[in-house]
Amino acid sequence: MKEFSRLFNSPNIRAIAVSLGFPFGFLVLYLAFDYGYGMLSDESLGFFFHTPFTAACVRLIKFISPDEGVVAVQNTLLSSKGNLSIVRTCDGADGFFMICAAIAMFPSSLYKKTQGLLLAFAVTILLNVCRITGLYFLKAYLPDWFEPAHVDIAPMIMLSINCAVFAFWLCSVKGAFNGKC
Amino acid sequence: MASADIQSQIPRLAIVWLTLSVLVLVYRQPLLASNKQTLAGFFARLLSAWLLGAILAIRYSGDAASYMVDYLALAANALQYDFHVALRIYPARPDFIHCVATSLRDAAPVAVGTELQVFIGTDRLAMPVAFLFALLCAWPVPNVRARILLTLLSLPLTVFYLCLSGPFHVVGFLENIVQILAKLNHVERPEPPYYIWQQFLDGGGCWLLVLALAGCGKWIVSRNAVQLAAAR
Repeated sequence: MKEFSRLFNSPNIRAIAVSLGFPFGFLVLYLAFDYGYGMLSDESLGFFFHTPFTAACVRLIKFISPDEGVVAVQNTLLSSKGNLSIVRTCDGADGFFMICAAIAMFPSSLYKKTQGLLLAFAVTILLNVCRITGLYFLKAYLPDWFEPAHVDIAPMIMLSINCAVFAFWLCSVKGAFNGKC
Repeated sequence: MASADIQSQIPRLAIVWLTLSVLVLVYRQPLLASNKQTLAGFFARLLSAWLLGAILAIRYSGDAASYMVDYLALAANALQYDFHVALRIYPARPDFIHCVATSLRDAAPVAVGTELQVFIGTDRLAMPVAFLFALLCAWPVPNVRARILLTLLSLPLTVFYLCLSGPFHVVGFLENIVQILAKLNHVERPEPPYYIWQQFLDGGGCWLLVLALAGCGKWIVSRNAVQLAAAR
């Protein structure tokens, strides 16, 4: 609220311009990424990303429960207890694009940006493998909880963790500038 | 997203841009001033409170809604005069509110006495409430007293949120059916304000409302803290 009152009493034009410019650039970049992603064909996305990603999920499921009898068939996890298909919206791309756009827009060195993007990619993949594995177990053993976990709980967790990654990256960037953090 | 989609999404994108701009303007300095411990604490509290709140909301939203349906019906009938609305928890799916609406007058395309039925998932109300609780639990505050006060504030703010969203969801869903019928019958039907508000909430505005309410909660707590310090 102090910021609000300061805004009206002594408006800082530069701060307002930055506050409008950063989200604008972020949105434009996010939409560009999203548009590019939408241009990819289902076949190439499936071959280069969804199939290896599904295989990674199956490996994790087998590591947790070796008797699960789950196999990966292209982009689908198949077992006698439940099937799960990984499609466009299930691969965590939205969250990754969001964090990429935020990192790309924030003023920092190319080295720091690359570091942040690699960290974001690793976190997105790791989180998503855990999410799909968790959803598989929910579908197999607690089917009533599958839908709420898939639609309501998991997206907010993914978004919060993506925000956390950006905030920590921001902290390290800021530390490089003024020695804080 | 195709370019035609982007064009139709421009008002929505403008709202997102303005919201992000306000958030950056207000929280840029606090975020830049915070350290890793503060951030870790905030996100740990947010995630754990969200998980707890969401699981409780999913598990008990039907039970909670059963106490609210009478008030929701009362408010829904006060918001519009086209239908008489009766609500109950749907026995086969206790997480759904069953709405039976009887038309009270001839309003094209619906004739008087027509009965419409809508099912409204209680998660539409419960999930934003869980997020409000998580945000208020997680918000960085200077001391335990403020943390307790902020967490307790989630109760009145939840009631306030439900007043601003629950009845509007009921009448909005109903109006949505009538709007679809009107389009199918090529009838012009104006969009009432409560329908526009419900569409806004349903299109993601509920999360903005939650953010605004959480901001109000933080403001109340910080103001209260200042007054307490002055009183001492």
